[in-house]
Amino acid sequence: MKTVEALISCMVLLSFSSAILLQAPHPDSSAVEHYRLAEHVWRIAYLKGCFNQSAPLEIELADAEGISKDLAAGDAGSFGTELASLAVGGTYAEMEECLNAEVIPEVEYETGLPISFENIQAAGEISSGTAITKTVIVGGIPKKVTLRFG
Amino acid sequence: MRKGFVSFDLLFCAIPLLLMLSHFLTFIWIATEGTETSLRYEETTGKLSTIADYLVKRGAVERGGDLTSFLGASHYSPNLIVDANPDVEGIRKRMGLERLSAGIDVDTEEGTCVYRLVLYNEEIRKFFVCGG
Repeated sequence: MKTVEALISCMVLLSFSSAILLQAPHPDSSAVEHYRLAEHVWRIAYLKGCFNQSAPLEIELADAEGISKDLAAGDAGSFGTELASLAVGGTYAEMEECLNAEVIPEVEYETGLPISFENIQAAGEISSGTAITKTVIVGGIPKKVTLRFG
Repeated sequence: MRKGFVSFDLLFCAIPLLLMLSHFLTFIWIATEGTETSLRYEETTGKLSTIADYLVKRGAVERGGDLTSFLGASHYSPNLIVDANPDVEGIRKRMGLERLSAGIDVDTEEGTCVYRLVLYNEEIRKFFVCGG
């Protein structure tokens, strides 16, 4: 009698533990997809030529020093900083115009997700979401630009 | 008399326990089915992501360089798509999928789909990989 009760109690307890273990949350894979998409947005902006204008750029020494300090003490962002060597020549205005006119609206239209570039005057202002920081070189001066996605 | 009392005691004790047990076994069966479906979906999604990454980096992109050079080394331009509807039959067999379709204009109604942002004809488009 006691053996039977013990057996049934044991089975009920095992059922509880199995049920609890099966309810364990699965890892969220959408964050990984967002990082992939953000990387692809960088790549597409590069392919669109936003980081490859040919116009010369004159940068004052004070600006260059400030940018160097920014780079030295800068925040790496949630995903880390990657030296991408994305741009040569050109001006920030041309880069911003290219991103504003050709990249941001089309990407937002295709994905339905908001994006924004920080540290440059590009459209889109979102404070959260997947962030990837890269170093963009304009006129030989590196500048950290963060892309926020979603 | 004592034996009968013990039997009734066992009966009234065992019935609720058996009902609880059957309830939990049913619950576990349903949960296992859900977990299995979820894992199968994640496995399929992983395979589709791998295929999508391959296609937008190698399989369907613009290729430059000399294909007859050493080891056929050539230069690829990731995300710059030239083949809007690549042939993926070989990939489907190798990956063990029942159906697979990839391209810019793919019917996304059936099966699981993942997409990558690409540049096609100088336009930003979604490159879909669907299958199951």
